[in-house]
Amino acid sequence: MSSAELGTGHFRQSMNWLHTWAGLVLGWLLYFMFLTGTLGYFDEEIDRWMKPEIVAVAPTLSHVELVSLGETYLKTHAEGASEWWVGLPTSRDTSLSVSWKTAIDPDTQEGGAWVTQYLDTATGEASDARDTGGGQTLYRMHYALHYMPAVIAYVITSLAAFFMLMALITGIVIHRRIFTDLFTFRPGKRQRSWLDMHNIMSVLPLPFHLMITYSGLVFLMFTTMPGVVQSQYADNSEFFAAVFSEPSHEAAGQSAASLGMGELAAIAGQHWDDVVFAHVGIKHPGDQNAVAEVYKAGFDDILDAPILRINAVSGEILDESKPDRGPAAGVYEVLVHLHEGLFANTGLRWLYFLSGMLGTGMIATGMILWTSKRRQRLGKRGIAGRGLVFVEKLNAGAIAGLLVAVAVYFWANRLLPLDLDGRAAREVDALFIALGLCLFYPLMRTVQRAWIELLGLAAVLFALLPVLNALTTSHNLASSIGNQDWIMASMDFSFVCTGLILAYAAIRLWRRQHQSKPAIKSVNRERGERSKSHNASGDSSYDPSRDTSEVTS
Amino acid sequence: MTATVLFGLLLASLGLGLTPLSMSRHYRSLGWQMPSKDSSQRALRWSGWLLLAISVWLCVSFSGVGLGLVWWAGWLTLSAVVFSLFLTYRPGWFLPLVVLLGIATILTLVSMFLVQP
Repeated sequence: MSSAELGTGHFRQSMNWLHTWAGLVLGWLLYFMFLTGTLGYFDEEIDRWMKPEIVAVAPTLSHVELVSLGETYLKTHAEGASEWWVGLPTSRDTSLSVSWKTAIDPDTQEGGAWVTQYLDTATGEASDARDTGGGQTLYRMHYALHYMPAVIAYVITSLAAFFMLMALITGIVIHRRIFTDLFTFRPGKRQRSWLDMHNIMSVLPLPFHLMITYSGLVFLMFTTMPGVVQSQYADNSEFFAAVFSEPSHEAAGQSAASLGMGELAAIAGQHWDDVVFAHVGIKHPGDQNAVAEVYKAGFDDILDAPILRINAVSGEILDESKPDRGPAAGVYEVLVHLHEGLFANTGLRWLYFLSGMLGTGMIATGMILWTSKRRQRLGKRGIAGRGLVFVEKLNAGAIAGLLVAVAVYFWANRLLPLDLDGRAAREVDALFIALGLCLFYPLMRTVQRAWIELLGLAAVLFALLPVLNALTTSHNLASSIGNQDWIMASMDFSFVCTGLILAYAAIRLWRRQHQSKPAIKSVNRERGERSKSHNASGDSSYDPSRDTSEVTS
Repeated sequence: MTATVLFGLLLASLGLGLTPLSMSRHYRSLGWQMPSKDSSQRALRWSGWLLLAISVWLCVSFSGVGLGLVWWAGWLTLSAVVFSLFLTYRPGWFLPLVVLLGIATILTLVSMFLVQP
């Protein structure tokens, strides 16, 4: 061997070490971030499921009619508000919503809060949607965590993203056959199969993994590199105000009759040749300086589409533009948009979801690989050290447990009393209590049993969500399809699919354990001696039925 | 417009599908005899890369740089996952799948010319 080869071998080895430990240290947190973040690609759809009181808008109503309906409600319920907004149904959101910013009292400086209501188009009245965190809260957890100040969470999640990036780069370096093994999966071969699965889940969506990790780091750069902003601005808020704020319109203080919001929407419809709107708003309604703003439902490539501003008194179009923030902010915006994928339509959203789930699986298989590698090194007779057993148990509790916890979050949404104080916060409490219990559960069971039981529990909880939905609300799969409430129907359907996939995993593990039970018993009984059943089985590493490692699939 | 995007994506899948056909490992699992020369393997590999290059160019020129690349990468990930599953559990169905993809690609191309004369 030449010295150059020795050099690369040593380099690979050290990279391997870095990959193993960079991955392990924050692996469980990264798994949490990837899973909740991936669910965030369907945040609005989850919102809809968690607010069953919302009445899906009939597709027969035109945009102008819907905007007028919203305006009628705002006129009676939001008198004196400084801004009125109507949120129109889009492909991701079947609701008609109104929101307004309450006026600020000049004496007490109170007010200025945003209020949102969902309207029933049949009556024009608000449907009393339950207090829930919805998909937004689930999504927020992947970067802001929970039960801690956002700044601390940002530091932690930035650090995790940094470790993730390190694990990705070192992973590419140590993967010897990245192209020849591109499609290779060899099932039923223990360690080998886990490595194959880890490789497939890492390499096939590699562009996504690199993009999401890097852009995640950039996303939080104001936390990780505060000095850059502080050298130019007094603090972050001054910087954000300078870079990101929209041009403000002051009220004139003189009242004037403005056009109706429906008429303003019609003007925008003519200007844009009947595109679909997402939001129509009016700033300082009833004032002489009232300005209407119309947002398209679409995007300009992956970036925000221009906003149309209309003089709400005369109906004259003021401008159609998006703020130009310079090249640096432009790069930031591209990365943030790639990360959030807000521009993605349903098809592309599912592709994002697939890549995100593969990333979640990449982390999970990586964590399992860490333990199965050490198990294999121990051989059949070795006794696992405390560290190994600890990681094995935590793997079962965290990986299967988070699935249980997310399902519990949805169950809490339906089962908590509607008038409970701080209901939305209690839903999140339910999630973390479930997660905590799941983390402790493997301590009382063998690792294998903990995996099977937690996966089985998650499967049952997910699969029964549509049943729970049908029992506690007026929505079931048949009625949702009948009402063309596709989002509610797809949510229920996806829950069943999730339950089936998890049940399949649990049954596979149960069968594996069932088949290898005699082998385990004999190993336990004759610990220290070589078991006869193993000698008889020949090359046991290629015989899945003799597999005694803790977790395999 | 939609047909054009579909054509770009199908072409990407087809290009990716040619690569396992050029690998000796998968050759064996498909139950074929290894070709006497590796020139046919090389031809498959290069035509795979060529199709991938053309498809990314098509996606970008019809959907824009950002959207085109995101679709292309996401779609290739899905294709690769499906291919891996086939090669693992149904290796015998892999070649028919690639042939089917080829037919679908050609049909889309034809329909593009019929719709936009």
